[in-house]
Amino acid sequence: MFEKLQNLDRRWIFLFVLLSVIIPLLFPLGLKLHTSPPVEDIYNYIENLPEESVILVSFDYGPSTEIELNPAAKAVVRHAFRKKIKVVTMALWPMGAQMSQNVMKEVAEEFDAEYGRDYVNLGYKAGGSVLLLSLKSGFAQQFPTDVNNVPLSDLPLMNKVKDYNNCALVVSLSAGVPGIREYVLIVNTQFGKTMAGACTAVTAPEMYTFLNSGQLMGLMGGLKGAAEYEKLVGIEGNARKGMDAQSVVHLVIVLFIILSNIIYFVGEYRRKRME
Amino acid sequence: MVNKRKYRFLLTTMIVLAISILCAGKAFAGRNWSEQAFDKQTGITVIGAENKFARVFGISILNKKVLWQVGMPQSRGIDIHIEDEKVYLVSPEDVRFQKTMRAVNIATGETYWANRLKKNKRRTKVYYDDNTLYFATEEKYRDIIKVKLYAFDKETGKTRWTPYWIRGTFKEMLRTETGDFILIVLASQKTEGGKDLKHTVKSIKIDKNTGLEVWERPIEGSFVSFPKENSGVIYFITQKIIDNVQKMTFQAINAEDGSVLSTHEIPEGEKPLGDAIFYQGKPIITMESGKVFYIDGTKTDISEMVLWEKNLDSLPVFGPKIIENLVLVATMKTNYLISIDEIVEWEGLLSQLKEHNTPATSRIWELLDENTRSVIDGITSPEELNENSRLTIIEGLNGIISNKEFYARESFKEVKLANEVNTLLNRFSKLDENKIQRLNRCLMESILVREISQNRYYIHALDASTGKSLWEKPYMVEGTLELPVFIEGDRLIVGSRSKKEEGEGKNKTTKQMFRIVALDPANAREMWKQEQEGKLENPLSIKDQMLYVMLYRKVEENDVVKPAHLLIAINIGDGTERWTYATKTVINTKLYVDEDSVDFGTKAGFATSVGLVDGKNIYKFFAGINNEMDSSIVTVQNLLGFATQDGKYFILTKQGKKVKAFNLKPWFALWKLPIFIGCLLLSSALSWYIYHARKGKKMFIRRIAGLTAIDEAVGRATEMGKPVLYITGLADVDDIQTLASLSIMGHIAQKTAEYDTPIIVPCCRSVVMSTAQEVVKESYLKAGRPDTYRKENIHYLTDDQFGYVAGVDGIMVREKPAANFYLGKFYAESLILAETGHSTGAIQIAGTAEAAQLPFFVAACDYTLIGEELFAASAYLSKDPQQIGSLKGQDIAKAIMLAVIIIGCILLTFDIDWMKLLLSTQ
Amino acid sequence: MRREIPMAITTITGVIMIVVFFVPMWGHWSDIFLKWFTVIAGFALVLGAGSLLLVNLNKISRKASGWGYNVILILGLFVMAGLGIFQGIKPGTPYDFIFRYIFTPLSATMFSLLAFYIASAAFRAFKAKSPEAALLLITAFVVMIGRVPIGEVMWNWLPWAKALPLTTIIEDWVMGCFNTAGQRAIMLGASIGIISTSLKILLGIERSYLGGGE
Repeated sequence: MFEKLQNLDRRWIFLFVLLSVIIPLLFPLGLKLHTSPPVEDIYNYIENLPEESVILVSFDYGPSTEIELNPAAKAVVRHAFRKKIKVVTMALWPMGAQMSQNVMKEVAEEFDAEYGRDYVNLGYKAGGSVLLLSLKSGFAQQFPTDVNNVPLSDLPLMNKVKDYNNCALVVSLSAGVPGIREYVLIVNTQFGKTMAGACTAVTAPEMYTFLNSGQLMGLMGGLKGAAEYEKLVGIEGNARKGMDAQSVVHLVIVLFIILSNIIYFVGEYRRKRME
Repeated sequence: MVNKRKYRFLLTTMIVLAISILCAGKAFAGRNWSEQAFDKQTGITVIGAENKFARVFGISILNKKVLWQVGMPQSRGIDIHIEDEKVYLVSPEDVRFQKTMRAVNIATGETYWANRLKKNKRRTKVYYDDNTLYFATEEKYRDIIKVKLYAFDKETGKTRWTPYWIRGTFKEMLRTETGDFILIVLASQKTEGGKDLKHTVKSIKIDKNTGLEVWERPIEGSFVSFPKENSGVIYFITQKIIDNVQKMTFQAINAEDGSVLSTHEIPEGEKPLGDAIFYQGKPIITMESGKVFYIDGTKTDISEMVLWEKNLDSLPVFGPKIIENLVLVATMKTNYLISIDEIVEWEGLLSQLKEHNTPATSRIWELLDENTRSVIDGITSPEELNENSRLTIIEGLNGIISNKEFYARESFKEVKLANEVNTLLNRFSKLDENKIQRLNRCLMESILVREISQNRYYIHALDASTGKSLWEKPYMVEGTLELPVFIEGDRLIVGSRSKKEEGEGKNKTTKQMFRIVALDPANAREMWKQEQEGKLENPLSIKDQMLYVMLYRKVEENDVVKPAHLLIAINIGDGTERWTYATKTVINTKLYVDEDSVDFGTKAGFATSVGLVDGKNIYKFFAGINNEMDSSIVTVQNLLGFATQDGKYFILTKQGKKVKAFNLKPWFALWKLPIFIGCLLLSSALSWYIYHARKGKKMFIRRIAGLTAIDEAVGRATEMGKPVLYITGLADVDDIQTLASLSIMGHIAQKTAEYDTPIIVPCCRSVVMSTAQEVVKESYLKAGRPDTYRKENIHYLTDDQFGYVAGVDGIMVREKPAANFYLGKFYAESLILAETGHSTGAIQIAGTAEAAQLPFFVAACDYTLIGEELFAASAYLSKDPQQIGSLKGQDIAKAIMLAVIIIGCILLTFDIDWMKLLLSTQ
Repeated sequence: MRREIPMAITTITGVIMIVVFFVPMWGHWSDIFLKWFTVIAGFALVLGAGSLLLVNLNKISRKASGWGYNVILILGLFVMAGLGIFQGIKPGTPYDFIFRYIFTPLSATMFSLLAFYIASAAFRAFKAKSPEAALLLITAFVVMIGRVPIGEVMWNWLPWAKALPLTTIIEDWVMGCFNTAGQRAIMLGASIGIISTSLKILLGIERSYLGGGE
């Protein structure tokens, strides 16, 4: 029995992880969620923006992290539209343009937001940090047209929004590189724009350094961050639904670590006794 | 020898500064000039440059000279006021060590006086009196925010009285008719134990002569409309949320003593739209619901308070605006029911309904009630239609619009549905009543009534003294209203847009139309009407009896569609089009109308002038690619001046000939001085040790376990007869981690070449791939085994993060490499790679400077290079003394950094922040 | 010369960029280089696609093990490119369909593997072999449990939950203090490493990225 545990096939672990995700999704536990200051900060900032302000939302992720970042994107855009704030989206990831298309379409329908007046999708452009730098001289330079090849001058919103200066807030939804880090180094540090971010849970610890230094005004880390934002905005989105599953998975992993440590110590004890 | 050494050292130090690019990015052209203040008497213009440049310039247009420049922080939003040859400059914010306000001589720039308001942010405009200037600021010191009101003597720059201050954040300031100030401050208090702040809004009246508080009045709730003062009464509306219900209160306060004259709770669901307007000192307030009130705030009783009330029955979108005694409000109806005045062509409608020979029309017929059917059947010719029968038909159709069952798939098969209909149908089960109406209305339009806008706009004119409608009925706007609405002379100008379909079937095109109508304000009679094809690009503007319309239109010329941006001038008197001027790019400045020309700047960087009378181009001056005009235009005699985005100031003649151009950008970016010094320090430490290493000084380098294990890993792969897998990370070649990884790869490839073990390098970026191919090829050449180099082993997979991971995992599972190297920049894929590699039993060496991925690598790999070890690896492996010297230099740099951090921490602990200011780059 | 020309380009570009960085007067120069980079990156994509084709066609012609996958890859490449070019990528097109209903779930699947791998890696490697490791382990437990709602619920059972909220421990102490300190140390070290490597590249001391060291 002990030997078996010592050489536990990792597929058993996989099975337990799988079950601990599926079961809470099917039978929610309804755990109460508390919000944390980094998320509240973003909420309060947007809440206090005057109507007709513009925020720039950058979709720096692809389909792989859609599950984790789409809820955050939707929550922020919903909040913005509710406050009658205009949204300009762009993407540093090739697939980001599509992500933004999907999110914006869904939320816009809900709020009857009009494309071109209430929101614009600039699409994707290669270059990462180089692109961010060159956007300083105006969006139109790097994005002569929007994602659907409509000239920016045809979009009423873009006649008002020329460059970073016209945006009250820049939000990067980032799953890696290029993402929040590039935005912080260039858009915040060099151009002094207020930045907020949402990132995958894996990259969140790294982003805390920027949060701590004030370069990021707020941060939504992983699904948890998105869930908190959903709670603040008052919607029952996918992130909040996922929180129960995440709770149980974390618990299961912790239990596994405890188990592995027990095995380790028992093994050590036996080895010493043998000697 | 000495000279040569010196020269070399200097050169290296200079080159080294390149690093700064990596730590702080690249420079960009200056832009965003503030509006110019122009003094007609002297012909001198004063203009503030971009914030970072922190400079204000005095330029004489006539003498074509930059007369002076003074340093001012945040120069873009600076307040410039010219009076009696004196220029008063007040910065919006205190940044670092610079004076925030000064008075200078307009001709010489000589400073009369200068002040610095430390840690202050100006929150109001500057009010200028005969001998005093006033403004309010917010001062942040430690965590305490104070609102201050300052008064400075114009002559001496000294404060006239001790600045008034109060703790809290600034909300609003207004000046009463007597010249005193009413300051609205959000005074906040920390509640016990929590982070929550309790807010109280206070309005305080401050005497302009003494700076003393006259009265103070706390106000509950937050402002929906900010206070406005008129005839000694301050009006405002506040809101409070009690049990999730918004409660709004209208209040009036006596400006003299702060006593509350009246408060009135606004019924639930009502909300004011925009600010109030005043007629004879009393406010006219429009509600979002469409009610308009004229209120006397001095009365307490509600019946006496409301002087008149008018319900417009639709939602206001604009206004109110007051011209003499005429109150103008534009409203919108989002009701999707058909109204009688919408149907233009009764004949067609009637015949369609009577015949109902298509599935869609028969569906309508099916749903019409008996009464309507009989009415329709009873009419044999259109002439028989009367008011009653029309109403019955409309009612019948409206019944269908409210019917949820209207849509039936079969009936609408042949009808081409608009995109909007499809979107609505997709969510059919979730639609509420309003959306159902909208859907049915769209459906109805696609069958019967075409060309009707969904939102209908109306313009109402009320008599300000009685609230009665001046016109018989509100004016209905054709299409979608474009704001604003103007009154110029005796014309009311209304702009609207709509779509127009032309042609049939495949040739069907939709055109954007723009319409301008001039009405007689007395009776809403149309005096003239103009229709143009195109989309409005900039808001309409009116100057000197001329209306300027800027449209975007696609023009077809010899089968080539060319976009054109048009500037159309229309005579307001008779509606005739005076002239049209076309540009290739959009006009992105205001129009500056002069005695004989209209001047503007376009997006492509042209400054253009068009004749006021004939619309002929006077000149077109090109300032540079995308070098947009970025300030206002000032004109004096035959000259004009303006600033452009890339930091130039142009002086042209009115014929468009360049007289002079100044580059106003500074020679050295002073705000980057800390970076400059830092780079100088770091790079001299580095080059000093590189130099010594060159001279042959021996330097110690500690053992790095991960690197000594390389031999073991490659050796094991050789023994097992399995390949080596090398991953350079996810980043492109512009990332230093990738370059460091490529360097290490060179060394490993040389080993694999010597042992004759294949090395597989799947790449995530194509530029990295071609570089990696070069590196490996060169290594094989150096090992003397160019024949065993296989180009196809170094190949591209995909740019997509997880697609790449899937590809690499596939290689691992199929080829089972005995050694895996993951060196470079990694993200979430790190663990997926390392765990798969672990499951195949490979020996794994990883290295990255991505702190977030390090734990994963440490957990799943045998050896991990942490952070800077990745960059040191190349030196370690090559044993090149110069490279090892650079490592030593790195250590010194680190020591300097540590010292700065420690000193900075200590200083900040004692609240001494000069070091922080010194090192900040903004 | 093969070595000298690229090195000269590196050094000259580097120096120009530095000068421009400190001299706003010549700011527009950097624009030119930035535009060049975008163009070059665009061309390199063609190179990558070429390599992909070559390697996979080669494997198919050799009938190497698992060549069926290579066929699928090439099919995927052409089908997606073809659909994208001829029918566009707007919602409703076949491209969009494949993207949404095939590509997206596949990518998400790859990413989700992370959850399983974290569990197995943690099970294998996360052992309290030393006092430091034990400390790390406890911290990990606090963060893992504390970052999800269940942790919040469990914490509130404790008597001192009111006086010491869980968010204070996690956000302010663990994440804000210890985590940030560690991350910053690694970041600062790495930044100096980056600066030093850049310097070596500009000076031509480090040229193995051009191929094979000396």
